[in-house]
Amino acid sequence: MRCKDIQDGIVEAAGKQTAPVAEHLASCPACRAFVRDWRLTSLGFQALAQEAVPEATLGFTERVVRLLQDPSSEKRFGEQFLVGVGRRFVYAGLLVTLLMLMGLLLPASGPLRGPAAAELYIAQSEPSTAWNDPLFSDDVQPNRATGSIRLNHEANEQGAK
Amino acid sequence: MGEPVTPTPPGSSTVLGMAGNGNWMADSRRNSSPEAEWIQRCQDGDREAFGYLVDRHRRRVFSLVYHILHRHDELEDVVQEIFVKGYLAIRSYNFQASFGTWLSRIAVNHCYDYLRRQRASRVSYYWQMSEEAQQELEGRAEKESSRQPDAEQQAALKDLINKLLDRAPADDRIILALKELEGLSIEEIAEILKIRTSNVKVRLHRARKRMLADMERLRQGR
Repeated sequence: MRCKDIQDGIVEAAGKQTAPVAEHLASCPACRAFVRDWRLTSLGFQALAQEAVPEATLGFTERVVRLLQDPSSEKRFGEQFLVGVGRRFVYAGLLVTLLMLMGLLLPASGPLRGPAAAELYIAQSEPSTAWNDPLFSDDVQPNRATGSIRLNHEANEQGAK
Repeated sequence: MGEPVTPTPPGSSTVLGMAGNGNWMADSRRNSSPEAEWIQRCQDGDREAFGYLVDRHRRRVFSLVYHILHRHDELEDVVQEIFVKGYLAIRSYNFQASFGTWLSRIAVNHCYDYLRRQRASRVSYYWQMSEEAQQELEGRAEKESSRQPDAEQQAALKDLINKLLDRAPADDRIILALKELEGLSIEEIAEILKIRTSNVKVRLHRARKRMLADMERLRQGR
């Protein structure tokens, strides 16, 4: 007998084995594995079938009857759609509110929200001087008549000479 | 958790719920003319009368949908939709099949649409079992032990089947659930699916073989 026939026969006979099948199984590891899997699935189905089916919650029948109050199917399915979509909007709204509350309630600094490097960078004034920018310090003395500037230490040097 | 919502059906003392194990489809024609009367009232537009039918058939519809979809979270919503569909289509019910069969057909079609829309795969406990635990379970299956698997093994087996059903095509999943989990006969399945009994046998055979082939693929990590 071919393996395919044996396996078909096992499925057909719900796992029961005749003498020729048993003889084949003794010498065929592939068919033995098939029988083993078949029994595993049978045990699994039995276990699943014994599982308690959830009961309807209180008021189920009333809810169904209430749904039938409007016999127009399009309208009712439209309402069901809206109820479904509405529920999602409510969940999304709650999530956004929660995130906003977290944002507001978290301390302005600390391990979660310390001052960011970018904020520090913006807060600092940045000196922007080029190499030839005039520096109006104590060392600089502008000459208003000629419009030129003169450094004090140069004037002092000239005076000493 | 039965909360009767409707008055007593006309002409009888009502027993709400299922007629008994295996008799749920036998039927509004044979033994429950009160049910037929309620159906007719629904067909005339009496929505309250439908509450009686919901009470009478809801356990079975819950079981059917649960075994096909295995979704705790959406079970009640789906069953509710099925009953609404049933009410909207009740004028087309012609008393040829039992009302239970007719409603089951609606339920199966609804589940079929649901499965086509949502195909989710779940993490399997069986495939996360230790090598030794898997070998023990497989050894038990090989020896055809008469001892029942313990709770942990049962949980693993259930998860194995759920995983395989999740991966199975909707047709296979439905026919396997009807036969193996609902325990319906070939004839009952044929009536619900509106196909011949020989077709049911062929489909079941193929579905089982595909499931076993898929189990082998899962084991090899594909």
